Amino acid sequence: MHKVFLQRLATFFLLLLLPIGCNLLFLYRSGELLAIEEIFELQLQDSRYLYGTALHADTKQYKLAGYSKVQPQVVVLGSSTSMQMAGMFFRQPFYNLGGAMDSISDGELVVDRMLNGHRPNHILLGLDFWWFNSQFKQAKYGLNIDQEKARLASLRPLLEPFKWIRDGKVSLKEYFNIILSPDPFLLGIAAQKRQTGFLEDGSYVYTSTIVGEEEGGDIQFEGTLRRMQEERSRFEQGEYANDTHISHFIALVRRLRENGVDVTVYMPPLAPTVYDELMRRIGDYKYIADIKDRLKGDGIEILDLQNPYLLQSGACEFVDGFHGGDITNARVLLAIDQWRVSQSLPALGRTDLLHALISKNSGHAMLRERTVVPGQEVDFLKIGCDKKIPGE
Amino acid sequence: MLFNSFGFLIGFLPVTLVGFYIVQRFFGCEPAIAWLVVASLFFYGFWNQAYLLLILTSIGVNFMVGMSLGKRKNRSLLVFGIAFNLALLGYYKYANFFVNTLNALTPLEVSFGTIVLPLAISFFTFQQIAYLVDAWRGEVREYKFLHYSLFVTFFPQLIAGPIVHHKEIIAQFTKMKCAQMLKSENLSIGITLLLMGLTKKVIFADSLAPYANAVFDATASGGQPQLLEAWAGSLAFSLQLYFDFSGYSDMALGGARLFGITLPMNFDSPYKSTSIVEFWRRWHITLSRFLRDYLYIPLGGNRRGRFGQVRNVMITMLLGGLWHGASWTFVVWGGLHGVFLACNHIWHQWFGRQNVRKSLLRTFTGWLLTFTAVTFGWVLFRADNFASAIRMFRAMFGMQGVSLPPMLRDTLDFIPGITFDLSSTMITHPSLWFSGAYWIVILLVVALFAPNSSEVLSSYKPVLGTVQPPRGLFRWIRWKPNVFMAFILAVCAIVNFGAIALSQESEFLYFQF
Repeated sequence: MHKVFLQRLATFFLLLLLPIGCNLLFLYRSGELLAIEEIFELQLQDSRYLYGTALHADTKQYKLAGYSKVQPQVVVLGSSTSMQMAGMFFRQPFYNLGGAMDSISDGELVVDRMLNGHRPNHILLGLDFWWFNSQFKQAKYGLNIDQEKARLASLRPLLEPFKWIRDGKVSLKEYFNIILSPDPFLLGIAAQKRQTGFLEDGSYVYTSTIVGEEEGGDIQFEGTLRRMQEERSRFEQGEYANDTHISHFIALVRRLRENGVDVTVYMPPLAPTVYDELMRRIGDYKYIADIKDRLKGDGIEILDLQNPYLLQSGACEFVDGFHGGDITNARVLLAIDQWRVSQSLPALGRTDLLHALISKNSGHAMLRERTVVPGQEVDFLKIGCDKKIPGE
Repeated sequence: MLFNSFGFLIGFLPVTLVGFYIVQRFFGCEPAIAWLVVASLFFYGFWNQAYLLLILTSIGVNFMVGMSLGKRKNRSLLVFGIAFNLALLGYYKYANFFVNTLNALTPLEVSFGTIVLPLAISFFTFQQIAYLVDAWRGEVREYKFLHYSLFVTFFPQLIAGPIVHHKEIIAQFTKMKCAQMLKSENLSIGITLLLMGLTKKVIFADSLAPYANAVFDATASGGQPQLLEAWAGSLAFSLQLYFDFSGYSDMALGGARLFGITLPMNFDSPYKSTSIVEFWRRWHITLSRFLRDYLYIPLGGNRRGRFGQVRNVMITMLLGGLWHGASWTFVVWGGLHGVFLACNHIWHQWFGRQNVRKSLLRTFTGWLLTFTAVTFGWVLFRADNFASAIRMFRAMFGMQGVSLPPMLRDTLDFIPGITFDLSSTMITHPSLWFSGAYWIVILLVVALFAPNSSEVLSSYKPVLGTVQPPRGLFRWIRWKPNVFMAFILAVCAIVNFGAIALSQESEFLYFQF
């Protein structure tokens, strides 16, 4: 009786193990199952490692772990709109916490951790105007941090690869390629499949869209413009900035300053087409001016870099309607430094290098120096950009 | 090597098992026992080879002292043997604790440097003290050194118990018959217990950990939890510890059973207890047994009058608390349980003899009091220091206010007069808090109503002694070696293996003792 039971148990186990085991192997070989600490160890050993997960919602957790490990003097804090600032731009040890602050409540958590551990000397805080919009759903306090949950034991990933195959996100060829011969420097499915993810300085690289391997970017900025037309997904309209958000943001900046941290608040640029549309509709977005006025009234001056024309950053340097590329961010840092120097504050960027990078790569969204796989940038936005590097 | 790691589950355990069966088949029982000793020492040394010498010395000295005591009743030798064990435990586990206390109370600045606590020292020390005392009492037969070594090192019980008694284990080695050990029944029962334990640990306990940690960690770093948070955190920890320890105990039973060895029951649905005395008969049963037989009764037990009994209970529980960890919070936790036990005994002496009918209300009140007392106790057990524990206690009594998460506030907006402070004062994340709530409710129901693994397997003698089959609502849950059970266990195995692969390794809470 027990022998038969054991045989049945072994049979069922093997039958179930085959598909689930393949998925586990797929995730394991892609690097998705590495612990955040292990990922970071690898990235610190070799700067070619790129972490791009399709499984874990762990950006905040990953960023905070990286920050604790690097213990930088200069930090960029903000949402995905600040993720392109690279370590090579800066004079002092740097870490990009872009993506760790999708709302002010996220920022409070990051600041809590900072003040209880390593404190940077300088923070460049990339402020997104939608944080202050009462209509913006993600901005509710305490409702979207979830970083403790991000890597909870969950069984969903065991079946997730089947879903990706069904939805066409991963082809069977890619599935078996990753099992049989994954790229050892690409950690995670997004990194393996699209070469997108975070480098060791916390900055983000978009590869597959920019080199034309994958369609579906913000072609001609239509996606962002549609958001504005439909008043959704960060582009909800509003007349006044939300009082609670304003008071929390002021408290956050004050806490940092009272603890000796030099904070520069800036608004990241929009793509020219999107900026023009925003200006056309500015009457529907009065709350943006309200943010600036009210923060200024409380001693927090915002360096408004939304206007890409002031930065001389063309549409070809953007990844999409509201994410500047590498060159745009180099220009942002130069503008920040120019403003800082005018305020008798030290410049943070490597000015000569930034000028050299801009002059060589003008009109590009991706810096060659930051690519992890070979590939030539193409006109991925389909707006007629010439992506040739001068002299090549 | 953790029981819930691939290294153990698909490496060490199958290799040891296959090796055991091969050695037994071709060389006989004694070489198979030798194989198990070597494997167990490898298991221990895998953690830190340096401490292999420590456990081997401890085994050697205790065996020799025990044999001498068996031949000649010599009190000095017994004192030496116990002192030797306590000295090892005292140095490795308590030296820095006492030195730190001394330094805090006096201007002295004594230091022993960093001392790494050898794994399992609290467990094998107690097992061997019991052996020495029994040898002195003349209750020990002459054991073979090989059998004695396996009694101490047998890997399923080495790290976190049960604290096995030499009589119940060595007797099984001595009487071991090769044919019995090779029975497929042992394999099917062993695998079932292993998988049940693994599920409790990997799925239940580890799923609760983030909710408990969120509250206790925030409190440790100076946060002020409020009423609901504090209760959610302490309930989550109560259940995490329950399933962690229960899971480990099942895995120990299952691991031993694969080799034909049956261990004593260590965990018997303790949260079903309706009194604190009953709780200690169900929680960490083998520790309670040791403390009763080798401390409480030698101190005089209940034979020294009411005051004497209270004194003996307090001494036993204070030392029992200290056994759990070198910290004053553990001592106070033990003391708190001592007070609970003393109250329970006094209550029983005053009212127990009255002919009171056992009503549902009486049972429920007893359970509620017991469970609440135990949950309060776990706060001291989990808190990093007294300041954190006090903040938690204050919060649990509502002295730090009441706050509802915004989600609930929005739902309750229509009720006039809601006056809670609903600003962003929650120290833990509300969505975390909410998703934790269903885990707490479901697992509390499981802990309170479901039969435990020994009851489910009661027809197949999963533990030493008699076990009652499941009763009540869940009496139909009985293990049988049929196709349905094989399928359920295969699913459990896959789910557990998947969960282990997807999450980071987590230690069993009782390993730290």
